[in-house]
Amino acid sequence: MDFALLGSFVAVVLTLLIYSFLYKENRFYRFAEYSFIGVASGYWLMVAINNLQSVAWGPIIKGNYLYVIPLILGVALFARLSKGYSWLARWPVAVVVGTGTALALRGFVDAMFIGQIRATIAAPMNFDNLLIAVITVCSLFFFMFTVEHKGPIGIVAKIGRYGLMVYFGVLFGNHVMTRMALLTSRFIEIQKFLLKVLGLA
Amino acid sequence: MAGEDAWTKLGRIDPRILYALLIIVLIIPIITPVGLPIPITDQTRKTYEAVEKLPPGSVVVCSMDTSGAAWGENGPQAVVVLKHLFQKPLKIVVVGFETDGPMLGQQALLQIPKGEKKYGEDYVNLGFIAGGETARAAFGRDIHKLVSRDFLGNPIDKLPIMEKVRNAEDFALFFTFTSLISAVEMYVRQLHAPYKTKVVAAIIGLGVPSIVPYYNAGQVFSILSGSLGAAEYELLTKMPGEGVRLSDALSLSTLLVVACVVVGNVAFLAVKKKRKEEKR
Repeated sequence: MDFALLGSFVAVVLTLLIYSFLYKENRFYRFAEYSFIGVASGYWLMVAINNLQSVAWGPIIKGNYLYVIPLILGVALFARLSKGYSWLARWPVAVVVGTGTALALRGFVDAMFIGQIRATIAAPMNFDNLLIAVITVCSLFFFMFTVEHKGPIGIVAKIGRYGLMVYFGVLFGNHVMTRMALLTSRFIEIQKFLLKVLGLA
Repeated sequence: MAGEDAWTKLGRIDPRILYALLIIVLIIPIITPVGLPIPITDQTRKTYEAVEKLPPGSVVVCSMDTSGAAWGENGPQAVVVLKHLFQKPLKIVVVGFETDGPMLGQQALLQIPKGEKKYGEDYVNLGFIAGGETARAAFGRDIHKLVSRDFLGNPIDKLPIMEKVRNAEDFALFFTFTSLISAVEMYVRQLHAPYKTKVVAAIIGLGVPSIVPYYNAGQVFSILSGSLGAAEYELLTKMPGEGVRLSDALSLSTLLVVACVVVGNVAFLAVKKKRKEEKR
């Protein structure tokens, strides 16, 4: 039995069932939607179990007992299900939020803040970079609400608004392109399957 | 005012007619490719040249931070980049920090010619690493402390390739195939900022405008922009594939969308004008 072909067949059928929503909501679409949720949940559960085995259980068995601490913290998350012990769940959440924030901050100030300002200031003087600098300042003015947007400040804020509109336009255009590419790739999959079935591939 | 009535009707057109039009526009170039020109951007050329200039034995990491939903764009990128990397005397490490990623990476690895490259010696798939930004930071610091087994279950200490690959300082180039802007930002923070790793953002089209500031600041080495980026890379490597096939349909469908936007706006303005006149 050709399992690759069977897989392609399932993928093509599910794709068509999902796109049937474009005509109107129907049972076939619902079937594909629920199947997707079921399969995704199953896959994620398996990934989680596998992860638990390789990252936590594996090292503990090898004698690295420090891994017991995150394992206990992980189990403590389930304490939220109990009314009496739900406070225990705050500890792992605090560790996750604290570690995440510290890590993000480590690179944030340099990479996201100073790095960007440095790049805007130190960029070679040409029309593009000048425009970037002007729109950056004007866009910041647009979000300054402590001063009324009137007179020269109003003009600056308006230029900033236009800059933002251009950005949103570019974003929208790219969004459309991406959606079209994803749709086209599904059609190419359907074509590949048909060519295989007809023996033309 | 029959003309204006037509505009009103146009403004209320059944979306299903547009869907049907779109499907026709997409299917025609798939069946009979039109061969529209594909200009190659500086960013794609920079990526290609960087791979070409890598010294033999250099380590290239391909992080599959993508999902099945975005594979339509990230897939052609990953396949052509991997094909190119496998033609070079390089060491390739595939990894993923999003759940679907390594599985899709493995699928891409299965469909490309490997030449004389051997698994475990020249390339490896380290599988999924949970933990988001924390995991990415740990990956840059010490891979061996973070990962014990590869995607196939082999202990990584027994894989010859991993003797050479220990931390971010060993990466000559780091590709992230992703749909997430946040993933690229994490690499900027956790790999580029501390280790000056060259991060190539192979991102889906909609994420590109948000990544350009990092590229302009030199924090992202270069960008592969969606399936068009894949098509450009395919042309540079002279290995036309799915990216090139997608680009025709993409260009024509975008033209249709632009036409719809223009007609829609004209219809909107015409109806607005009619209502103003009726009020008078």
